[in-house]
Amino acid sequence: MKGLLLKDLYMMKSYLKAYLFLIPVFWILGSFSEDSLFLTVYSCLLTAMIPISLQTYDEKEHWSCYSCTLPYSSGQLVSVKYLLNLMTMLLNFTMILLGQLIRTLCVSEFNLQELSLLLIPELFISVLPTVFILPIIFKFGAEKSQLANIILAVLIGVVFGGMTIAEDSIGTETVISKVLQNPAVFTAIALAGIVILYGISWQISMKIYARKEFH
Amino acid sequence: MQTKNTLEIRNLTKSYKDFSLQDLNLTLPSGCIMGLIGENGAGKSTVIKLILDMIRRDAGEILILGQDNREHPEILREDLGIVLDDTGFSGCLTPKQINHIMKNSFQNWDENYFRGFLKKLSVPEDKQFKEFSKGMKMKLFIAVAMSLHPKFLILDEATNGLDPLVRDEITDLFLEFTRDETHSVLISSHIVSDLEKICDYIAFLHKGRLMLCEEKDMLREKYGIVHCNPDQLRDFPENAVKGRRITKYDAELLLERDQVPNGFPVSPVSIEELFVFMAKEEA
Repeated sequence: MKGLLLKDLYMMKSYLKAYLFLIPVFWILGSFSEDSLFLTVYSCLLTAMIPISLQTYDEKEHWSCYSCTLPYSSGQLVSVKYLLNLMTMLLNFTMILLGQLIRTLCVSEFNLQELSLLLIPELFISVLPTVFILPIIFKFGAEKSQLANIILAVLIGVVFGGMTIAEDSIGTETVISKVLQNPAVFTAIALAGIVILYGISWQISMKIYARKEFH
Repeated sequence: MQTKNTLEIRNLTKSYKDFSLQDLNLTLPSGCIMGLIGENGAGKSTVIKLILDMIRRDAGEILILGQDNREHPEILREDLGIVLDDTGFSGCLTPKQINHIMKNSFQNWDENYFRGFLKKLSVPEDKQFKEFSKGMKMKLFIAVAMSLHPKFLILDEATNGLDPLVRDEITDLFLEFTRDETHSVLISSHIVSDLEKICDYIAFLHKGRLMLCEEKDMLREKYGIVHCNPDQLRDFPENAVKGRRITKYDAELLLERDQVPNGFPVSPVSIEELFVFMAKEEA
Protein backbone atom coordinates (compact mmCIF):
# COMPACT_ATOMS: atom_id res chain seq x y z
CA MET A 1 0.00 0.00 0.00
CA LYS A 2 3.09 2.20 0.17
CA GLY A 3 2.78 3.01 -3.53
CA LEU A 4 -0.80 4.24 -3.09
CA LEU A 5 0.13 6.40 -0.12
CA LEU A 6 3.05 7.84 -2.04
CA LYS A 7 0.75 8.70 -4.94
CA ASP A 8 -1.64 10.52 -2.60
CA LEU A 9 1.22 12.44 -1.01
CA TYR A 10 2.46 13.56 -4.45
CA MET A 11 -1.07 14.68 -5.30
CA MET A 12 -1.41 16.54 -2.02
CA LYS A 13 1.82 18.36 -2.72
CA SER A 14 0.59 19.41 -6.11
CA TYR A 15 -3.17 19.92 -5.82
CA LEU A 16 -3.69 20.80 -2.16
CA LYS A 17 -1.07 23.52 -1.80
CA ALA A 18 -3.65 25.91 -0.32
CA TYR A 19 -4.47 23.34 2.39
CA LEU A 20 -0.78 22.79 3.13
CA PHE A 21 -0.35 26.55 3.53
CA LEU A 22 -3.49 27.25 5.56
CA ILE A 23 -3.31 24.35 8.01
CA PRO A 24 0.02 25.55 9.59
CA VAL A 25 -1.37 29.10 9.64
CA PHE A 26 -4.25 27.89 11.85
CA TRP A 27 -1.81 25.93 14.03
CA ILE A 28 0.23 29.09 14.63
CA LEU A 29 -2.76 31.42 15.11
CA GLY A 30 -4.48 28.89 17.36
CA SER A 31 -1.40 28.56 19.51
CA PHE A 32 -0.16 32.11 19.85
CA SER A 33 -3.12 34.44 19.44
CA GLU A 34 -4.97 35.51 22.52
CA ASP A 35 -8.10 33.36 23.12
CA SER A 36 -8.08 31.86 19.66
CA LEU A 37 -7.52 28.17 20.27
CA PHE A 38 -10.82 27.61 18.48
CA LEU A 39 -8.99 28.49 15.22
CA THR A 40 -7.45 25.00 15.33
CA VAL A 41 -10.96 23.76 14.47
CA TYR A 42 -10.31 25.05 10.97
CA SER A 43 -7.08 23.10 10.68
CA CYS A 44 -9.10 20.00 11.64
CA LEU A 45 -11.74 20.78 9.04
CA LEU A 46 -9.16 21.28 6.28
CA THR A 47 -7.26 18.15 7.28
CA ALA A 48 -10.49 16.20 7.22
CA MET A 49 -11.23 17.31 3.66
CA ILE A 50 -7.92 15.95 2.28
CA PRO A 51 -9.07 12.35 1.58
CA ILE A 52 -12.33 13.62 0.09
CA SER A 53 -10.51 16.03 -2.25
CA LEU A 54 -8.01 13.36 -3.30
CA GLN A 55 -10.75 10.84 -4.02
CA THR A 56 -12.52 13.46 -6.14
CA TYR A 57 -9.31 14.03 -8.13
CA ASP A 58 -8.81 10.26 -8.48
CA GLU A 59 -12.22 9.96 -10.05
CA LYS A 60 -11.86 12.98 -12.29
CA GLU A 61 -8.52 11.80 -13.63
CA HIS A 62 -9.64 8.17 -14.07
CA TRP A 63 -7.14 6.93 -11.50
CA SER A 64 -9.94 4.94 -9.84
CA CYS A 65 -10.19 2.93 -13.05
CA TYR A 66 -6.45 2.61 -13.64
CA SER A 67 -5.84 1.53 -10.06
CA CYS A 68 -7.77 -1.67 -10.85
CA THR A 69 -4.75 -2.73 -12.90
CA LEU A 70 -2.38 -2.46 -9.93
CA PRO A 71 -1.63 -5.34 -7.57
CA TYR A 72 -3.90 -4.05 -4.81
CA SER A 73 -7.13 -5.48 -3.46
CA SER A 74 -10.26 -3.33 -3.45
CA GLY A 75 -9.91 -3.21 0.35
CA GLN A 76 -6.46 -1.66 0.05
CA LEU A 77 -7.63 0.90 -2.51
CA VAL A 78 -10.30 2.03 -0.04
CA SER A 79 -8.19 1.75 3.10
CA VAL A 80 -5.52 4.10 1.80
CA LYS A 81 -7.95 7.03 2.07
CA TYR A 82 -8.93 6.13 5.65
CA LEU A 83 -5.28 5.64 6.54
CA LEU A 84 -4.43 9.01 5.05
CA ASN A 85 -7.19 10.58 7.16
CA LEU A 86 -5.74 8.98 10.30
CA MET A 87 -2.19 10.04 9.44
CA THR A 88 -3.05 13.67 8.68
CA MET A 89 -5.31 13.78 11.76
CA LEU A 90 -2.50 12.47 13.95
CA LEU A 91 -0.10 15.04 12.53
CA ASN A 92 -2.66 17.81 13.02
CA PHE A 93 -3.29 16.96 16.69
CA THR A 94 0.43 16.52 17.34
CA MET A 95 1.05 20.00 15.96
CA ILE A 96 -1.84 21.51 17.96
CA LEU A 97 -0.51 19.98 21.18
CA LEU A 98 3.04 20.97 20.28
CA GLY A 99 1.82 24.53 19.72
CA GLN A 100 0.26 24.55 23.18
CA LEU A 101 3.43 23.15 24.69
CA ILE A 102 5.53 25.89 23.09
CA ARG A 103 2.98 28.48 24.24
CA THR A 104 3.28 27.14 27.80
CA LEU A 105 7.06 27.41 27.64
CA CYS A 106 6.89 30.95 26.20
CA VAL A 107 4.09 32.54 28.19
CA SER A 108 3.60 29.98 30.97
CA GLU A 109 -0.04 29.70 30.12
CA PHE A 110 -1.61 26.42 29.04
CA ASN A 111 -5.19 26.36 27.79
CA LEU A 112 -5.82 22.91 29.27
CA GLN A 113 -9.46 23.55 30.07
CA GLU A 114 -10.31 24.97 26.68
CA LEU A 115 -8.18 22.39 24.88
CA SER A 116 -9.83 19.46 26.64
CA LEU A 117 -13.25 20.87 25.75
CA LEU A 118 -12.27 21.36 22.13
CA LEU A 119 -10.45 18.08 21.64
CA ILE A 120 -13.47 15.83 21.25
CA PRO A 121 -15.44 18.15 18.89
CA GLU A 122 -12.22 18.58 16.89
CA LEU A 123 -11.82 14.81 16.69
CA PHE A 124 -15.38 14.54 15.41
CA ILE A 125 -14.75 17.25 12.83
CA SER A 126 -11.55 15.47 11.74
CA VAL A 127 -13.29 12.20 11.02
CA LEU A 128 -16.85 13.21 10.04
CA PRO A 129 -16.16 13.99 6.35
CA THR A 130 -14.34 10.68 5.91
CA VAL A 131 -16.93 8.72 7.88
CA PHE A 132 -19.92 10.33 6.25
CA ILE A 133 -18.89 11.40 2.73
CA LEU A 134 -16.32 8.80 1.61
CA PRO A 135 -18.76 5.85 1.42
CA ILE A 136 -21.17 8.07 -0.53
CA ILE A 137 -18.42 9.06 -2.99
CA PHE A 138 -17.39 5.43 -3.41
CA LYS A 139 -21.01 4.50 -4.10
CA PHE A 140 -22.28 7.37 -6.23
CA GLY A 141 -19.17 9.21 -7.41
CA ALA A 142 -17.86 12.64 -6.42
CA GLU A 143 -20.26 14.63 -8.56
CA LYS A 144 -23.41 13.04 -7.22
CA SER A 145 -22.10 13.33 -3.67
CA GLN A 146 -22.20 17.13 -3.57
CA LEU A 147 -25.46 16.95 -1.66
CA ALA A 148 -23.74 14.92 1.06
CA ASN A 149 -21.17 17.71 1.47
CA ILE A 150 -23.95 20.25 1.93
CA ILE A 151 -25.82 18.04 4.41
CA LEU A 152 -22.63 17.54 6.41
CA ALA A 153 -21.88 21.27 6.46
CA VAL A 154 -25.43 21.91 7.74
CA LEU A 155 -25.04 19.12 10.31
CA ILE A 156 -21.81 20.60 11.65
CA GLY A 157 -23.49 24.02 11.76
CA VAL A 158 -26.45 22.59 13.68
CA VAL A 159 -24.19 20.79 16.19
CA PHE A 160 -22.09 23.88 16.85
CA GLY A 161 -25.17 26.11 16.89
CA GLY A 162 -26.77 23.71 19.36
CA MET A 163 -23.69 23.82 21.55
CA THR A 164 -23.77 27.62 21.57
CA ILE A 165 -27.48 27.67 22.46
CA ALA A 166 -26.84 25.11 25.21
CA GLU A 167 -24.01 27.24 26.53
CA ASP A 168 -26.19 30.34 26.47
CA SER A 169 -29.14 28.72 28.21
CA ILE A 170 -27.28 26.67 30.78
CA GLY A 171 -24.20 28.83 30.98
CA THR A 172 -20.70 28.03 29.74
CA GLU A 173 -19.39 27.39 33.22
CA THR A 174 -22.14 24.85 33.88
CA VAL A 175 -21.40 22.95 30.68
CA ILE A 176 -17.68 22.94 31.40
CA SER A 177 -18.17 21.87 34.96
CA LYS A 178 -20.53 19.07 33.92
CA VAL A 179 -17.94 17.76 31.48
CA LEU A 180 -15.06 18.27 33.88
CA GLN A 181 -16.90 16.41 36.63
CA ASN A 182 -16.36 13.21 34.68
CA PRO A 183 -13.81 14.05 31.97
CA ALA A 184 -12.56 10.48 31.62
CA VAL A 185 -16.06 9.08 31.10
CA PHE A 186 -16.98 11.86 28.68
CA THR A 187 -13.75 11.36 26.67
CA ALA A 188 -14.03 7.56 26.67
CA ILE A 189 -17.64 7.64 25.41
CA ALA A 190 -16.81 10.16 22.72
CA LEU A 191 -13.69 8.25 21.61
CA ALA A 192 -15.58 4.96 21.52
CA GLY A 193 -18.26 6.65 19.39
CA ILE A 194 -15.64 7.94 16.96
CA VAL A 195 -13.93 4.57 16.67
CA ILE A 196 -17.23 2.75 16.09
CA LEU A 197 -18.39 5.26 13.46
CA TYR A 198 -15.02 5.07 11.75
CA GLY A 199 -15.02 1.27 11.70
CA ILE A 200 -18.56 1.10 10.30
CA SER A 201 -17.80 3.62 7.57
CA TRP A 202 -14.57 1.80 6.61
CA GLN A 203 -16.39 -1.54 6.34
CA ILE A 204 -19.25 -0.04 4.31
CA SER A 205 -16.79 1.61 1.90
CA MET A 206 -14.90 -1.65 1.39
CA LYS A 207 -18.13 -3.51 0.66
CA ILE A 208 -19.26 -0.82 -1.78
CA TYR A 209 -15.89 -0.77 -3.58
CA ALA A 210 -15.70 -4.55 -3.87
CA ARG A 211 -18.99 -4.52 -5.79
CA LYS A 212 -18.20 -1.45 -7.87
CA GLU A 213 -17.81 -1.67 -11.65
CA PHE A 214 -15.42 0.59 -13.53
CA HIS A 215 -16.78 1.52 -16.92
CA MET B 1 4.31 -23.31 -14.60
CA GLN B 2 4.00 -22.19 -18.20
CA THR B 3 0.52 -22.75 -19.59
CA LYS B 4 -0.15 -23.47 -23.24
CA ASN B 5 -2.69 -20.68 -23.54
CA THR B 6 -2.26 -17.24 -22.09
CA LEU B 7 -5.93 -16.43 -22.28
CA GLU B 8 -8.99 -18.64 -22.45
CA ILE B 9 -12.47 -17.20 -22.51
CA ARG B 10 -15.44 -19.55 -22.41
CA ASN B 11 -19.07 -18.56 -22.97
CA LEU B 12 -18.55 -15.06 -21.65
CA THR B 13 -21.73 -13.04 -21.34
CA LYS B 14 -22.40 -9.53 -20.08
CA SER B 15 -25.65 -7.66 -20.57
CA TYR B 16 -26.50 -4.00 -20.24
CA LYS B 17 -29.76 -2.25 -20.93
CA ASP B 18 -28.80 -1.35 -24.50
CA PHE B 19 -25.91 -3.70 -25.24
CA SER B 20 -24.96 -7.27 -24.61
CA LEU B 21 -21.89 -9.35 -25.14
CA GLN B 22 -23.06 -12.78 -26.08
CA ASP B 23 -21.43 -16.11 -25.45
CA LEU B 24 -17.87 -15.10 -26.31
CA ASN B 25 -15.23 -17.80 -26.77
CA LEU B 26 -11.58 -16.89 -27.36
CA THR B 27 -8.23 -18.60 -26.95
CA LEU B 28 -4.90 -16.83 -27.16
CA PRO B 29 -1.94 -19.22 -27.27
CA SER B 30 1.31 -18.23 -25.53
CA GLY B 31 3.79 -16.32 -27.65
CA CYS B 32 1.13 -14.80 -29.91
CA ILE B 33 -0.44 -11.44 -30.56
CA MET B 34 -4.21 -11.30 -30.92
CA GLY B 35 -5.99 -8.31 -32.38
CA LEU B 36 -9.50 -7.58 -31.22
CA ILE B 37 -11.16 -5.70 -34.03
CA GLY B 38 -14.53 -4.06 -34.01
CA GLU B 39 -16.33 -0.84 -34.73
CA ASN B 40 -16.87 1.71 -31.96
CA GLY B 41 -19.29 0.18 -29.48
CA ALA B 42 -18.68 -3.39 -30.68
CA GLY B 43 -17.71 -4.47 -27.17
CA LYS B 44 -13.89 -4.48 -27.33
CA SER B 45 -13.42 -2.45 -24.16
CA THR B 46 -16.13 -4.47 -22.43
CA VAL B 47 -14.19 -7.67 -23.18
CA ILE B 48 -10.97 -6.15 -21.83
CA LYS B 49 -12.66 -4.80 -18.71
CA LEU B 50 -14.19 -8.23 -18.11
CA ILE B 51 -10.77 -9.83 -18.49
CA LEU B 52 -9.40 -7.37 -15.93
CA ASP B 53 -12.47 -7.92 -13.70
CA MET B 54 -13.21 -4.21 -13.73
CA ILE B 55 -16.77 -5.15 -14.56
CA ARG B 56 -18.55 -8.31 -13.43
CA ARG B 57 -19.46 -10.99 -15.92
CA ASP B 58 -22.98 -12.40 -16.01
CA ALA B 59 -21.80 -15.84 -17.10
CA GLY B 60 -18.80 -17.66 -18.45
CA GLU B 61 -15.20 -18.26 -17.49
CA ILE B 62 -11.96 -16.33 -18.01
CA LEU B 63 -8.59 -17.97 -17.45
CA ILE B 64 -5.45 -15.85 -17.56
CA LEU B 65 -2.16 -17.76 -17.50
CA GLY B 66 -4.22 -20.78 -16.44
CA GLN B 67 -5.81 -19.02 -13.48
CA ASP B 68 -9.36 -17.73 -13.02
CA ASN B 69 -9.21 -13.95 -13.32
CA ARG B 70 -11.26 -13.47 -10.15
CA GLU B 71 -9.05 -15.60 -7.92
CA HIS B 72 -6.38 -13.43 -6.27
CA PRO B 73 -6.44 -10.78 -9.01
CA GLU B 74 -3.89 -8.67 -7.11
CA ILE B 75 -1.32 -11.49 -7.49
CA LEU B 76 -2.26 -12.12 -11.12
CA ARG B 77 -1.76 -8.43 -11.98
CA GLU B 78 1.95 -8.77 -11.21
CA ASP B 79 2.23 -10.67 -14.50
CA LEU B 80 0.12 -8.31 -16.58
CA GLY B 81 1.11 -5.15 -18.42
CA ILE B 82 -1.99 -3.08 -19.05
CA VAL B 83 -2.62 -0.01 -21.17
CA LEU B 84 -6.12 1.43 -21.18
CA ASP B 85 -7.11 4.17 -23.56
CA ASP B 86 -9.09 6.51 -21.34
CA THR B 87 -7.64 5.86 -17.93
CA GLY B 88 -4.49 6.96 -16.31
CA PHE B 89 -2.30 8.74 -13.91
CA SER B 90 -3.08 11.91 -12.13
CA GLY B 91 -2.17 14.90 -14.25
CA CYS B 92 0.20 16.26 -11.61
CA LEU B 93 2.48 13.22 -11.54
CA THR B 94 5.80 13.11 -13.36
CA PRO B 95 7.36 9.92 -14.77
CA LYS B 96 9.94 10.16 -11.98
CA GLN B 97 7.16 10.06 -9.36
CA ILE B 98 5.34 7.32 -11.26
CA ASN B 99 8.56 5.32 -11.06
CA HIS B 100 8.53 5.66 -7.25
CA ILE B 101 4.86 4.72 -7.04
CA MET B 102 5.31 1.63 -9.21
CA LYS B 103 8.51 0.61 -7.41
CA ASN B 104 6.50 0.53 -4.21
CA SER B 105 3.56 -1.28 -5.79
CA PHE B 106 4.93 -4.05 -8.01
CA GLN B 107 7.48 -6.68 -7.01
CA ASN B 108 8.64 -7.06 -10.63
CA TRP B 109 9.16 -3.35 -11.26
CA ASP B 110 12.44 -2.71 -13.07
CA GLU B 111 13.48 0.88 -12.45
CA ASN B 112 16.51 0.83 -14.74
CA TYR B 113 14.49 -0.68 -17.56
CA PHE B 114 11.80 1.98 -17.10
CA ARG B 115 14.26 4.87 -17.18
CA GLY B 116 16.05 3.37 -20.17
CA PHE B 117 12.71 2.93 -21.91
CA LEU B 118 11.73 6.55 -21.30
CA LYS B 119 15.06 7.65 -22.73
CA LYS B 120 14.61 5.40 -25.76
CA LEU B 121 11.11 6.81 -26.39
CA SER B 122 12.23 10.40 -25.63
CA VAL B 123 9.77 10.79 -22.74
CA PRO B 124 10.92 13.50 -20.29
CA GLU B 125 11.17 12.33 -16.67
CA ASP B 126 10.35 15.60 -14.94
CA LYS B 127 7.40 16.85 -16.94
CA GLN B 128 3.89 16.55 -15.49
CA PHE B 129 1.58 13.99 -17.07
CA LYS B 130 -1.05 16.64 -17.92
CA GLU B 131 1.48 18.44 -20.13
CA PHE B 132 2.10 15.35 -22.25
CA SER B 133 0.71 14.96 -25.76
CA LYS B 134 -1.53 11.96 -26.45
CA GLY B 135 1.41 10.14 -28.05
CA MET B 136 3.69 10.85 -25.07
CA LYS B 137 1.03 9.62 -22.65
CA MET B 138 0.66 6.40 -24.57
CA LYS B 139 4.43 5.92 -24.68
CA LEU B 140 4.58 6.43 -20.92
CA PHE B 141 1.81 3.88 -20.32
CA ILE B 142 3.59 1.40 -22.54
CA ALA B 143 6.89 2.04 -20.74
CA VAL B 144 5.13 1.39 -17.42
CA ALA B 145 3.51 -1.80 -18.73
CA MET B 146 6.78 -3.12 -20.20
CA SER B 147 8.86 -2.29 -17.11
CA LEU B 148 6.92 -4.88 -15.16
CA HIS B 149 8.37 -7.59 -17.43
CA PRO B 150 4.86 -8.93 -17.87
CA LYS B 151 3.95 -12.25 -19.41
CA PHE B 152 0.80 -10.83 -20.90
CA LEU B 153 0.27 -7.35 -22.36
CA ILE B 154 -3.31 -6.12 -22.63
CA LEU B 155 -3.78 -2.98 -24.69
CA ASP B 156 -7.09 -1.26 -25.19
CA GLU B 157 -7.03 1.15 -28.12
CA ALA B 158 -3.37 1.84 -27.36
CA THR B 159 -2.56 3.17 -30.81
CA ASN B 160 -5.63 5.34 -31.36
CA GLY B 161 -5.03 9.04 -31.86
CA LEU B 162 -1.32 8.56 -32.44
CA ASP B 163 0.53 9.80 -35.49
CA PRO B 164 1.79 7.13 -37.92
CA LEU B 165 5.41 7.44 -36.79
CA VAL B 166 4.61 6.85 -33.11
CA ARG B 167 2.20 4.03 -34.06
CA ASP B 168 4.94 2.36 -36.04
CA GLU B 169 7.41 2.76 -33.19
CA ILE B 170 4.96 1.26 -30.72
CA THR B 171 3.86 -1.66 -32.87
CA ASP B 172 7.54 -2.56 -33.35
CA LEU B 173 7.86 -2.70 -29.57
CA PHE B 174 5.07 -5.26 -29.37
CA LEU B 175 6.70 -7.40 -32.03
CA GLU B 176 9.95 -7.31 -30.09
CA PHE B 177 8.07 -8.23 -26.91
CA THR B 178 6.60 -11.43 -28.40
CA ARG B 179 9.98 -12.69 -29.57
CA ASP B 180 9.97 -14.38 -26.17
CA GLU B 181 7.46 -17.17 -26.69
CA THR B 182 6.20 -16.97 -23.12
CA HIS B 183 4.94 -13.45 -23.88
CA SER B 184 1.55 -12.70 -25.40
CA VAL B 185 -0.36 -9.61 -26.38
CA LEU B 186 -4.06 -8.85 -26.66
CA ILE B 187 -4.61 -5.57 -28.44
CA SER B 188 -7.90 -3.97 -29.33
CA SER B 189 -8.30 -1.28 -31.94
CA HIS B 190 -10.52 -0.07 -34.67
CA ILE B 191 -7.42 0.89 -36.70
CA VAL B 192 -7.22 -2.43 -38.47
CA SER B 193 -4.04 -1.64 -40.42
CA ASP B 194 -1.99 -1.55 -37.18
CA LEU B 195 -3.30 -4.91 -36.12
CA GLU B 196 -2.85 -6.42 -39.55
CA LYS B 197 0.84 -5.61 -39.32
CA ILE B 198 1.56 -7.27 -35.99
CA CYS B 199 -1.12 -9.82 -35.09
CA ASP B 200 -0.94 -13.59 -35.37
CA TYR B 201 -4.62 -13.99 -34.54
CA ILE B 202 -7.56 -11.79 -35.42
CA ALA B 203 -10.86 -11.71 -33.57
CA PHE B 204 -13.76 -9.77 -35.09
CA LEU B 205 -16.33 -8.37 -32.72
CA HIS B 206 -19.49 -6.88 -34.10
CA LYS B 207 -22.37 -5.61 -31.96
CA GLY B 208 -21.24 -7.72 -29.01
CA ARG B 209 -20.90 -10.93 -30.98
CA LEU B 210 -17.70 -12.65 -32.05
CA MET B 211 -17.94 -13.03 -35.81
CA LEU B 212 -14.71 -14.98 -36.16
CA CYS B 213 -11.42 -15.67 -34.44
CA GLU B 214 -8.68 -17.19 -36.56
CA GLU B 215 -5.03 -17.02 -37.46
CA LYS B 216 -4.39 -13.98 -39.64
CA ASP B 217 -2.62 -15.96 -42.35
CA MET B 218 -5.42 -18.52 -42.40
CA LEU B 219 -7.93 -15.74 -42.95
CA ARG B 220 -5.99 -14.45 -45.93
CA GLU B 221 -5.70 -17.95 -47.35
CA LYS B 222 -9.30 -18.82 -46.70
CA TYR B 223 -11.04 -15.73 -48.04
CA GLY B 224 -10.79 -13.80 -51.29
CA ILE B 225 -12.60 -11.14 -53.27
CA VAL B 226 -14.26 -11.77 -56.57
CA HIS B 227 -15.13 -8.92 -58.94
CA CYS B 228 -18.00 -9.51 -61.31
CA ASN B 229 -20.92 -7.73 -62.87
CA PRO B 230 -24.32 -7.74 -61.15
CA ASP B 231 -25.76 -10.23 -63.66
CA GLN B 232 -23.21 -12.84 -62.64
CA LEU B 233 -24.32 -12.81 -59.00
CA ARG B 234 -26.65 -15.75 -59.56
CA ASP B 235 -23.60 -17.96 -60.34
CA PHE B 236 -22.60 -17.82 -56.69
CA PRO B 237 -24.36 -19.98 -54.08
CA GLU B 238 -26.01 -17.66 -51.55
CA ASN B 239 -24.44 -19.37 -48.52
CA ALA B 240 -20.94 -19.05 -50.02
CA VAL B 241 -21.09 -15.26 -50.07
CA LYS B 242 -19.76 -13.82 -46.80
CA GLY B 243 -20.04 -10.21 -47.85
CA ARG B 244 -20.92 -8.09 -50.83
CA ARG B 245 -20.61 -4.59 -52.24
CA ILE B 246 -22.91 -4.08 -55.20
CA THR B 247 -23.30 -1.05 -57.41
CA LYS B 248 -25.27 -0.58 -60.63
CA TYR B 249 -22.26 -1.53 -62.76
CA ASP B 250 -20.19 -4.00 -60.76
CA ALA B 251 -20.12 -6.22 -57.72
CA GLU B 252 -17.47 -7.26 -55.22
CA LEU B 253 -18.06 -10.44 -53.29
CA LEU B 254 -16.24 -11.86 -50.31
CA LEU B 255 -16.09 -15.62 -50.54
CA GLU B 256 -14.27 -18.59 -49.15
CA ARG B 257 -11.77 -19.38 -51.88
CA ASP B 258 -12.79 -23.05 -52.19
CA GLN B 259 -16.36 -22.02 -52.93
CA VAL B 260 -15.56 -19.73 -55.85
CA PRO B 261 -16.95 -21.15 -59.13
CA ASN B 262 -14.40 -21.87 -61.86
CA GLY B 263 -13.51 -19.02 -64.17
CA PHE B 264 -13.64 -16.22 -61.64
CA PRO B 265 -10.27 -14.75 -60.64
CA VAL B 266 -9.87 -14.27 -56.87
CA SER B 267 -8.09 -11.23 -55.45
CA PRO B 268 -6.46 -11.31 -52.00
CA VAL B 269 -8.40 -9.66 -49.21
CA SER B 270 -6.97 -7.41 -46.52
CA ILE B 271 -8.07 -7.85 -42.92
CA GLU B 272 -9.73 -4.44 -43.04
CA GLU B 273 -11.77 -5.37 -46.14
CA LEU B 274 -12.67 -8.69 -44.58
CA PHE B 275 -13.99 -6.96 -41.48
CA VAL B 276 -15.93 -4.31 -43.40
CA PHE B 277 -17.52 -6.88 -45.72
CA MET B 278 -18.51 -9.17 -42.88
CA ALA B 279 -19.82 -6.41 -40.63
CA LYS B 280 -21.93 -4.97 -43.45
CA GLU B 281 -23.29 -8.40 -44.36
CA GLU B 282 -24.31 -8.88 -40.71
CA ALA B 283 -26.05 -5.52 -40.67
